[in-house]
Amino acid sequence: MSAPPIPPNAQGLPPKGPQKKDYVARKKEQSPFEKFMARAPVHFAVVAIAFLWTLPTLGLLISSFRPPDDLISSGWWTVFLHPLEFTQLTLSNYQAVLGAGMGQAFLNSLVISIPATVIPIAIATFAAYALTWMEFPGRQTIFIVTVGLLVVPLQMTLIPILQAYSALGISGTFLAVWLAHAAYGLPLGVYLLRNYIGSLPRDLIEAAAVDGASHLKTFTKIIVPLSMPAIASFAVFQFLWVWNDLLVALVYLGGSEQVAPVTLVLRNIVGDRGQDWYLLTAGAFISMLVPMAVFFSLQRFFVRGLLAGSVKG
Amino acid sequence: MASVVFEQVTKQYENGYTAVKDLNIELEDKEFLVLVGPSGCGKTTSLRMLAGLEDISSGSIYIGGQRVNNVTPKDRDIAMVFQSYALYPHMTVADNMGFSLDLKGVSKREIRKRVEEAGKQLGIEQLLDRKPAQLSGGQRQRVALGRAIVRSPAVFLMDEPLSNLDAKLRVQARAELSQLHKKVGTTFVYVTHDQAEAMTMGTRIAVMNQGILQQIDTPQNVYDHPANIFVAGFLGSPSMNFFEATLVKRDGTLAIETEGGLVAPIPAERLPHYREFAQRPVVFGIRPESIYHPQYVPPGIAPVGVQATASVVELMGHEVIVYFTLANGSEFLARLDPRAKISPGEQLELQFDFTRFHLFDKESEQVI
Repeated sequence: MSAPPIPPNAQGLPPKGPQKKDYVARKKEQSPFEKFMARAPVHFAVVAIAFLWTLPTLGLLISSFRPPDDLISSGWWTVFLHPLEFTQLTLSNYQAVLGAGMGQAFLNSLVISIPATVIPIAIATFAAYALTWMEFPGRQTIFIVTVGLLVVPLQMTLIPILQAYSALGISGTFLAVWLAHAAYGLPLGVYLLRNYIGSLPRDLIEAAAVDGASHLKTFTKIIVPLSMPAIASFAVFQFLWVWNDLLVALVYLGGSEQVAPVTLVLRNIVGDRGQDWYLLTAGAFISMLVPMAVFFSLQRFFVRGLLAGSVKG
Repeated sequence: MASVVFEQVTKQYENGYTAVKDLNIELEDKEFLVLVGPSGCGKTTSLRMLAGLEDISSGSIYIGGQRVNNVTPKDRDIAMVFQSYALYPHMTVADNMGFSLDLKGVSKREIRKRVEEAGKQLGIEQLLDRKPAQLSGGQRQRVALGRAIVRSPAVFLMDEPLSNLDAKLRVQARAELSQLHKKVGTTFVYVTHDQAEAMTMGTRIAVMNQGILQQIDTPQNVYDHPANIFVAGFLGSPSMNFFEATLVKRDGTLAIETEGGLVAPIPAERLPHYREFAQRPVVFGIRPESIYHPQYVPPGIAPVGVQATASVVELMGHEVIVYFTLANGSEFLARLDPRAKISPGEQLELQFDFTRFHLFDKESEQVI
């Protein structure tokens, strides 16, 4: 018995060859130029916003290189009237700032900022883990009270804490500032990190538990590596805040030159009546260097998709 | 290598919801128990209680004869494969698999050796230095399995480990898991909602519904002798057909009379069973494969003719599934020989196999 001849088009495929030209999408084919033009409004908006944001900083940068007399008499944009005339720029502001004991101030600022960043991170990460993944009575209350502390104005705490420090005999020491900054930073840290750690998949923590990990092991081997983006952003926050802080350092450390951070020295440079304010332009850029370095060194931790491959198929 | 016993285990949540009620299961060493049921039936909760991830409200769980109610997961000597796999995304495959051994303090070299062994066994030895994100779904599933194997635990727990795989891989993985069970010779407890997995893999299956264990037996027994309407309807695809019916006395014997006009005498060997239910409402159940096209009736069955009209015909290739309606409008399904050319609207006298039907008490829904 021979197989019956297969009729043409037996597989139910559409007929080959030229089709009717009712395919609508074809009309919309774009040239590269059209594609570029279609996105142009977005590009324009982005560039405009970026320009607006950078403009004040640019002005500050240019001002910092202008002689004090020019600074006082005309705006920074006047530089562009004679763009090639480099004599209108000077390094005198930078010399003045650096000559005013900046070396010691940088050292002091680092001595204050590094522990004052590390201590709250350490405490907040542990606390955030416990508040999300360990079951104990009252943990919700503890969390709410901690976060509620965010609304307490810092200034309200200055006098009672200073009294306590005096009683303990640590007033005017670095320890006092570390503790103060740690405490001021903790509510935000606990809040940020708890939200992040709480969003880690439950399965991962349970898998670790079944694999034989104690809470401490789960924390160090699973939670901390996976929480690096949140920890890094909190680190940047906290470091910036401590580095730029004047009030807390002034109150708990006192104003002596041995312990004064960058912010305090800058304030002193300006003079009691603010007559040398133009020096702040150069001072701002000098003090900006360290936070920039911190930000860029932590940048590699700001990664998306850290959890890819763990629980989604 | 251990037995597992659930003794009157109940799980009640704080909001009063009872997820598992009075669960009793005794599992011998090296058994492969499949917990199966619709979603929300308490099967996963039972597994999680066994794993120690969920507190037990009352009752006891024993692993290897030891009561483990208050033993933490890490001290239960169990391994669990999660539905989501839950691989540690920041670790390589080898580190994922060796994590539990590392925690136990096994030496690095021994860990590498055991990981490589397990990797070879699962065919993933070339992936050991990759991160989970670089793996496909099937490979991740194997890594999750490998993480369980390297530990050689007392009990393997699996929570729907195949549900994220595509259909073809799932069939393959099913067979591999069964093989693995034979090879490692450890007790397996496996949760699924997929009845094909339940039927093919388990040495015993436990059907659960609404937190209550409905039946536990070998797959064949559960399929052939379901304990109640739920089990009968849950296992089998397409599922069993049910008809409201009454047992009527006729000429000193009993006959079944269903809605839609099926009337047939009860086979003699089943009579003693049914006497006390005479004149009572019952439910008559018959599986789609026990219904035959009049031209393709195999030998050795007790055919009873039923007039029905075909409404929808689904040709599957190896079989044809036909939706029929009876005279009174009630619907049922039949799984017929593909050679039978049936067109919608056609009237047929279908042959019901009366050696393989089920009767349930309508009130208690239990088999009679």
